Amino acid sequence: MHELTFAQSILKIALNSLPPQSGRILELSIKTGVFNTLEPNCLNTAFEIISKGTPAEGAKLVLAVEPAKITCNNCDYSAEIFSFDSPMTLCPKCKGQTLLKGGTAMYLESMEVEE
Amino acid sequence: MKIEIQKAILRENDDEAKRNAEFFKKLGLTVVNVMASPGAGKTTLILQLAKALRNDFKFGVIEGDLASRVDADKVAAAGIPVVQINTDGGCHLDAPMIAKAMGDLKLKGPGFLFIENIGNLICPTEFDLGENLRMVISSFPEGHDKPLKYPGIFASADLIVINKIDLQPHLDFDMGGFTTGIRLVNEEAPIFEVSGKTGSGLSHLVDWLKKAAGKK
Repeated sequence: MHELTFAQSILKIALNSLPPQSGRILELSIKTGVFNTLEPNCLNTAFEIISKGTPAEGAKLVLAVEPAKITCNNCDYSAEIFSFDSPMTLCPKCKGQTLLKGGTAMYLESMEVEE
Repeated sequence: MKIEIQKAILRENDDEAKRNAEFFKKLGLTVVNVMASPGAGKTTLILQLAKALRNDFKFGVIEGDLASRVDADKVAAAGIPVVQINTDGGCHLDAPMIAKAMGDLKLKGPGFLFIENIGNLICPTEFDLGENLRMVISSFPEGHDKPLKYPGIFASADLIVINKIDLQPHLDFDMGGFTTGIRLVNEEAPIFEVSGKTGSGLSHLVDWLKKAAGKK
């Protein structure tokens, strides 16, 4: 629900990273962890509004999910979790306690700029 | 042409949080970011912890609410230095707000600064304030499934307090389910069962906080 704040920050970082005499920004690649509350449609709408009149106007936001890793405290089971819809509190292999780690990133990875 | 960036989206807040942390360290303060739903008992617990800690430590509070001075007035009435932040609709505190509030709070350590965040299990998670410890408070009436429904905030906690244990006999609260939900996302945070009203369980929490302040 802070998509406007995130969009403003993404725009600021992108514009500050633009080399002099560059063309338009075509695409922005963003990594967001599975634990974060960033909603893609809201982010797109916010970015469309605030990027008007800047070299980032019309840029496509490409969002990739950073998964969390789930492991079992009891056996060697592990997997990547891309969604927190149905968390496995018990290991599917041995019913041991599971642990989720990672999935908290939120960063602007790269951008594609017109030559 | 591809340009690599690899910068955190919340870096401005993170940078301000780092500056806050350095400032708190210079003042000798152990800073606790207190997060919970509205009504879980943040202010009551802070007042109880102040009573237990202020003989040995300096103690101050930053209160965060959308509106009103209700909580700051309670803290001030107990003789504790306090600043109230009103966000006028903002759903979380952030590092720049804390930096500004510290200009008005005359507090020097060694001691504790408790920051009572906006009542909200979602938004405060992503905004580092420069704190040493994140204390997440849940309460028995809220039910045992909150860690599964709000995993982010429980994952980020350094300690978890489950409050209002005095009401447990009247509720269907599954402590095993609550603990399993926490341990799914947080391996290490100790869980303290307390009552802010009766004082039950508070001595363990106070001892833990004193040790944490000593380790800083």
